[in-house]
Amino acid sequence: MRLSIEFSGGLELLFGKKKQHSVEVDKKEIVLRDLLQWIKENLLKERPELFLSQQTVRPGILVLINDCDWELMGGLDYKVEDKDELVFISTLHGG
Amino acid sequence: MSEGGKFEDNSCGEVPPEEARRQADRLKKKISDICVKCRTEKSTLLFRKESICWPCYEDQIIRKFKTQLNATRKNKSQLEKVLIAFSGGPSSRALIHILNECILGRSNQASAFFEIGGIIHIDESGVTKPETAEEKEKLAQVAASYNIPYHSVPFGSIFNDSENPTQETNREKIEKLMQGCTTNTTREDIIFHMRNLLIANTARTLGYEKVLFGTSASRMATTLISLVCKGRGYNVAQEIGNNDTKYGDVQFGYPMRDFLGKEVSVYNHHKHLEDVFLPSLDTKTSDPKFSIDHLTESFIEGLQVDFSHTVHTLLRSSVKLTMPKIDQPMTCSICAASLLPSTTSQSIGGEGKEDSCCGENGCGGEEWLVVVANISDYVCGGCHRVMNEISPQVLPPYVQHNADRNGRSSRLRSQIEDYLLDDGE
Ligand SMILES: [Zn+2]
Ligand SMILES: [Zn+2]
Repeated sequence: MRLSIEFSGGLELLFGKKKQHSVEVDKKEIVLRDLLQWIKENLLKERPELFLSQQTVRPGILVLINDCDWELMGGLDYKVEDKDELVFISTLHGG
Repeated sequence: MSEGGKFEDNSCGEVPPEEARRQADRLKKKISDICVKCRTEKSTLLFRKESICWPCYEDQIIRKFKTQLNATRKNKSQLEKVLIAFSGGPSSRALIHILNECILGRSNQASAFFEIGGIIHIDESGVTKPETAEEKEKLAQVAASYNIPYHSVPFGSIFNDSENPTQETNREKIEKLMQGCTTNTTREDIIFHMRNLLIANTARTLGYEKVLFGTSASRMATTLISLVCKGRGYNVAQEIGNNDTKYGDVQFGYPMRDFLGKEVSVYNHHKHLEDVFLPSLDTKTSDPKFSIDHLTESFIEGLQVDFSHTVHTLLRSSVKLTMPKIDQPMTCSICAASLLPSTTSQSIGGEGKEDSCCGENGCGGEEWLVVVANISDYVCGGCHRVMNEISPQVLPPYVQHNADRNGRSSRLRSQIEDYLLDDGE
């Protein structure tokens, strides 16, 4: 499936300073919990502890799925679909 | 077709455990598919535990903003021309947009009394990595897109001293100051206070009486806790209160103080408001104990995940704090906080060394006019900790000037007190 993944609020620094990532995930089905691991293994360039903490995103990171709050979409159990737009925003250090 | 029917039956009779858990979870978090505010739109966002639609979310943001904006007003009948402090971050980025929209709309009484005169940005090149040309351009562009005059002030100008110009560049002085601190906590602490002082001074020079900051609730809570940790508990009301008089005639206001960092980010995402990410000292550090500020931020964000009232509960308690009225206000030579009478030196002039010019070359001035004050005698409790760490030589010249002035007024006062006592007896 093809996904659009965006990192901002400083998170992009962990992903080679690149905000927009258009990726092909070679899976028929994947839940967000497993996609986070996939991102860690395939996109993340450094310091995984600043992105993930205990199998989920670190506190202070906001997740939007197709502009919706991920908690409304089922959180980690959300079944990711083809053409989904995922946004990860670090809200730490906003001034 | 029969297979499909079978599946339907199955799911009706017996809900898979995964689905059951999800439903229970949604029930616990009061998640509803329809917006609980307008009851018509599909809910897409969570705001204070309520599932709502984007239009209602925006409405909530504007409403809460106006309430807080109104709370920053001292004189309710006067038009206020304000300066906005723009760090480049999401919260001050949102502040510019929301205030501008409110003013254009003029729908609300409070915002009709505001006018944005300018945007100020402190360029912290040297403290952190220098701002790139692209970053400078982006910052200026934000102001230009609203037709608001933009002032970028270099952090180094805190070292400007017209009386004693030096060979060293401000950039070199910043470097010495940063190297002079032995902990990141102190670095962040003095940057915070000097940045605010620069903003207040620039605002005064430009003729403003009010500066609005984008400080979010999350940031405020972090500041509150770390002020206490850094021995600045006494000054909490002055540092994060809405109507503080810390900088005399220039008042700081915080109309974004009700919003969580996440709430601001959602707003900016939907409004396509791009902030300008500028690295700070602790950006990319993996050391949780980098500094008190850094540690406090992770601590509060961590609590917030499980206890969503953490930030607002902290702030609700803090707004009730007020500064005691002090008859003879003396302010800290470094951070401008009010000094408690007991925090200033009791042995006035005792430890200060006399200026060599005194009594020579026909100077003839009164002794108390030329004594070089000991900075440590005229700083607040929090800055005392700073002084234990760094040498006075690396501090900007304004600190010594303030200490000297504090020293003079304190000696003058003790002389007057002597007269008054003599008189009474
Ligand atoms: Zn609604
Ligand atoms: Zn101080």
